[in-house]
Amino acid sequence: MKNKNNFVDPIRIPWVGIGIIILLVAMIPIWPITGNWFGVPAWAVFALLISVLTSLFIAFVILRVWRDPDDEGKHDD
Amino acid sequence: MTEFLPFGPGALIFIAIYVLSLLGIGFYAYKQRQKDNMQDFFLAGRNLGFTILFLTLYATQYSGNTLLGFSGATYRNGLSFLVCVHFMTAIVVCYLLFAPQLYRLSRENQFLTPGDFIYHRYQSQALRIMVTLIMVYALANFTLAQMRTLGTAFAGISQGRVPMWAGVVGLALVMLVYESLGGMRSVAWTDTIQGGMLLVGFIILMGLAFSQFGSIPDAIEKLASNPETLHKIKPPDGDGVRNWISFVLLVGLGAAIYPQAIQRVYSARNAGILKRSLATMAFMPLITALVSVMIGLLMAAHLPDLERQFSSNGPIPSETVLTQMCLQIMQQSAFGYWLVVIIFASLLAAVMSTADSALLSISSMITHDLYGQTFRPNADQAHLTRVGKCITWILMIPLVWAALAYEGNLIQLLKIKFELLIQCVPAIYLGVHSRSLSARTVITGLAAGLTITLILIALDWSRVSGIHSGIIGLAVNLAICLAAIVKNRSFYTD
Repeated sequence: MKNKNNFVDPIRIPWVGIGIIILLVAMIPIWPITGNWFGVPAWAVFALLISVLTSLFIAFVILRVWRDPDDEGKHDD
Repeated sequence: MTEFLPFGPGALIFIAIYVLSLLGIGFYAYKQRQKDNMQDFFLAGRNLGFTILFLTLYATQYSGNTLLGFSGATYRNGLSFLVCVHFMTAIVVCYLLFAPQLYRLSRENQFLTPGDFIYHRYQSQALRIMVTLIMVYALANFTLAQMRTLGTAFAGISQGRVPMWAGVVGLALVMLVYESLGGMRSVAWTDTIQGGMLLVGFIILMGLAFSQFGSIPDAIEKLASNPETLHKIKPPDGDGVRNWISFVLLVGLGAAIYPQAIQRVYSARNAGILKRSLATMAFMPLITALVSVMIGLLMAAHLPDLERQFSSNGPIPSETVLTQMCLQIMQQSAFGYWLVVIIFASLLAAVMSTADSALLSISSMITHDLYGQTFRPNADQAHLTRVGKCITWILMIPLVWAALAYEGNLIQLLKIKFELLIQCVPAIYLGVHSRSLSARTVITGLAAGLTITLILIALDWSRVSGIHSGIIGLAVNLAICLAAIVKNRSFYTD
C-alpha cells in the first residue's frame, strides 16, 4: 500500500475498504426504522445521516490517508 | 420549462452581460496560453489551482438536470428520490477507487485522454478505440441533451422574443468561440463563474423555498394527511430498494469515469490541489441534490395536482415544479423577480458548463485517440491542436441539428448512455490495480457486457426487477475480468 515513492493508495488499506462497504450498505433503505425524527420519516433522516457520514469519511480518507509524492505545494492556488 | 415565467427585457440584458463575459474570459484565456500543444489546450497545461479545479468539477458534475430533473423526480416519487443524494455522493466514493493511481500514472506518462491510460496499461489500440468510441457516444448524448435544455431555457427566458433555434445556435457559437480561443483554460475559467452562479442559485433557492412554502415537517404532514400523496413519504418497497442500489452503482461508477471528469484529474496542478477539490466535492450533494429534493417535496405537498393541470402544450410535466415555485416568488416583489432571474441564469450556466466540458472532451478524444494515434501518429502538436479546434466546430453542427430536430424516439438513446459507459468500468477501475488483466479479457468482458445490455434494452427490459440493464451487463463483464484475475492470482501487485 505504501511504496518507495511515499505513495499511499487509500483503497488498498483494509479499514478504508471496510468503511466504504459498511457505509454503502447502510445507504440502502432496508433498515427497520419506523416513526418520525424531527417531523420527518426516520428512514429518510437515517439515509441522510449516512450521506453526511459518507461525505465526512471520504473527505477524511482523501485528505489524511491518500499520500502522493506530488503533494508538495498543496497550498498553491 | 420556463414557458410560464414572465421575464422582462431586464432579464435578457442580465443574460446578455453574462454571455458576453464568457467571451471575454475566452479571449483572456487565449492571451494566457503558454504553448501551442495539446497538453496546454486540452488540459490547461496541467496547472489548475484549487478554486478553479473545484468549481470546474462542480459545474461539470451538476447540470441543469440537477435543478429541474431531480426536483421533478422528487415531486413524482417523493422521499424515495433521496437516492439522488446517495448516487451523487457515490461518484466521489468511486473517484477514490481509481483516481489516486490514475493521477500518479498520468503525471509519469503525460496522459491526455482516458484512452492514453488504456493504451499505456493494456498496449492495445483496439481496446483504446473501443473505450474511446463508447465514451464519445455517451458524451455526445449528454451534450445533445444539454443543447436541447439550453434552447428551451433561452426561449423561455426571452419569452418567445428569441426563437429556440436562435438561442441554441447563438449559445453554441458563444461556447465554440471561447472554447476555440482558450480550450480547457477557457472552459475551466468559465466553469468557475458558472459553478459559482450555480452554488449561489442553490443557496437562494433553499432560502426561497422555505420562506415561500414553510418547513419540511409541515410538508411531510400535508403529504401524510392526503391519501393520494401518502406513498411519497413511504420507504421504497422491494423493487424500489433494488432500483435504489442499481441507481447508486450506475451513476456512481459511471459519472466518475466521464472523460471530462478524468481529464480534470489530469489537469490538477498537484496532488494536494486534487485532493482538496475532491474532498470538497464530497459535500456538494448535501447542498445541491438535497436542495432539489426539498423543492420537489415542498411542491408535492403544496401543489399536489400539478400533473393533472394543462397548459397550451398539453399536461404540465413534473419537471416544471421549480418553474411553478419561481412563478409564485417573482410575482410577489421586484426582489423576488431578480432572485428568479439569477436562478435561471444559474440554470443556463449549469447547462453551458456541462455542455462545453463534454464538447472539449469529445474533441480531445477524437483528435488524439482516433485521428492522431490511428491516422497521423507522427503529426506535430500544433497540427493536432488545430485539428482539435476544427473538430469541435464540426461536431457542433450535428449536435445543434439533432437538438433542434429532437423527437421522442431520441429519449431512449439518451437514457442508455450510462448503461453503455459503465461497461468501461473494469478497464479503468481494475486496470489501475491489477497487472494480470489482459486486453483480450477486458475486450471479452466489454463485448459481453455491451451485448447483454443492448439485448435487454432491445427487449424493452431496461430494468429487470428494478435493476438497470447496464448493471446486469456490468455484472457479467466484471465476472469475466475478475475470473481472469483470480486465475492469474496477482491482484494488487505493484
